Amino acid sequence: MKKWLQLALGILTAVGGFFDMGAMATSAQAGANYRFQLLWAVAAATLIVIFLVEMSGRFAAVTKKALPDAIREHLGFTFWIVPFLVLTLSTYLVLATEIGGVCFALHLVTGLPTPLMALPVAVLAWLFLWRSTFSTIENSTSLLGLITLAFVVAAFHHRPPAGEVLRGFVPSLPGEDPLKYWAIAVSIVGAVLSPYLFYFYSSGAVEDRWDRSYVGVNRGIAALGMSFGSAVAMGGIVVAAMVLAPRGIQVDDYHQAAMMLTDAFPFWGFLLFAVSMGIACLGATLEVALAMAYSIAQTLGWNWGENLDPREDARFSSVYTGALLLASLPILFGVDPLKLTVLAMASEAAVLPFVALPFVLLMNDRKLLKEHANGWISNTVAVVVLLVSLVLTVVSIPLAFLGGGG
Amino acid sequence: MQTPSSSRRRCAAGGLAAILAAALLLACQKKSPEEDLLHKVEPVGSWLASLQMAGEKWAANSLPSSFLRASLSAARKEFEKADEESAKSRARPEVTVPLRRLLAEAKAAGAGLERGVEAGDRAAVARQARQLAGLRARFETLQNAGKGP
Repeated sequence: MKKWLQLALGILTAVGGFFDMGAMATSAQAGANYRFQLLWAVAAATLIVIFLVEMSGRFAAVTKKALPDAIREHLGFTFWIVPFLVLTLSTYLVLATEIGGVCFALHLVTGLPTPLMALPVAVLAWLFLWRSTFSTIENSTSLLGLITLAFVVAAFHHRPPAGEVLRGFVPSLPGEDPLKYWAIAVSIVGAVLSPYLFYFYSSGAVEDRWDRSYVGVNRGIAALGMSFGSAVAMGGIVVAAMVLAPRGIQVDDYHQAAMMLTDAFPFWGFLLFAVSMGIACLGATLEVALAMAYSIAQTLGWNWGENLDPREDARFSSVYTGALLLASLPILFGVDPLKLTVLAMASEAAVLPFVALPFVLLMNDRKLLKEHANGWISNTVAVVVLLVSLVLTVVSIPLAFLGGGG
Repeated sequence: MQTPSSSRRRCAAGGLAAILAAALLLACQKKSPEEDLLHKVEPVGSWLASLQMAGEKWAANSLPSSFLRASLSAARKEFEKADEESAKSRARPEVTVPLRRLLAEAKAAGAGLERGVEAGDRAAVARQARQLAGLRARFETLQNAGKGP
């Protein structure tokens, strides 16, 4: 039973990796522009991310090491340096986006300008990381993150046409504006397959002191946690399809998405959207800042751990402190949160192969993982991920600019 | 380890490259000045619909005034941008004149919405929202006419 409480790690990972600023934007855009036609992209990305998260949890449970740590030790620092640099850059953009999300949520509630919130939000997130342990973060984010289920409730409330929803799970070509369609599809995949996600999950498993006995539980946690995130993202698409699409509203600005829940919850809908966005993005801010600190500390062989006192891992704590400060700058200087999201999602899709390759190589190391090394099913998925990610690397940035999706 | 055969992989990569090439080709197709202008001002329709919904929801007490003000400010920027595009476009006056008239009316409706919010007059805001619905319908007609038969 105690092991199953670790589901919080799965939900925390899903809140950050799934229903964050990127997923909110892509879900709203997908539903508003193409109704249910892009549900397949979320479903496909979910399936892939379940496998990737399961692999990273299995790795951590068997070796008791997080991925960057193990990659540096087994494949060498030189091999890891390029993936590490692109991962850090992409993670920085995502962190800036998530801070933008919290700022925008506060702007919705208070009416104050978004840039004004950037530094206070960064300080709030820093205080949270400085004062909390890993379990406090994972439990509070998971519990509060349940508010995002409002999108699933709203989706059912609208009684979407079942046939059309089911047809959305089969990939199809759009009637018009294919560039925008593919740009949004790539952004959905980019938003879900966040490269930092599986690196974070393995570090979280080490923080939670997983051992081999968690290998089975890990499968359930990965599947349930990611399915939670997927359900919320799909709920977002359905609600946008039922509320925004019939009115001819496309999401070129987050203000247009903020009214999504007001049909289902006339009085609370607006506040529910703002609070869901704020909590999801704050959870993601904490997760991404930690992911960046984990990755840098493990790569450079420093002491690390959110459960340690900041004095015991001063360099690790300095990394998230600096990262939060630097990531608040784009919003502070007035960069549009939606444009930042488009760029971050495209960069996530673009860096995926750099980050996935060392991971997959390590998962096949039988000396290290013995009977827990990847089998043919996991490797088939890994090959699909590598192929998809290679295509995404080529198309994501041009599509983001040409299609304006995101 | 099972992997797809290399020919299948080539085929899949080729298919995706073809989709991308077709999409790029569509994007680069030469458009008439009218089509180009109507494509650039497309977000206006979405903003008219957004303001209409925001007005209706504010009148029904579902949205705070600060949100409506922020939406109006964002919509106004889009209307200004569209007006600038129309002013510098080489499209025929049959397209630019009604478009600019519609944009002027949209800005006026926005200002009316703002006045209603400041005065706390929900009935006035609901009326402006209906006017925005009419403007949106006219904008759609203009867009459809511009697309041609």
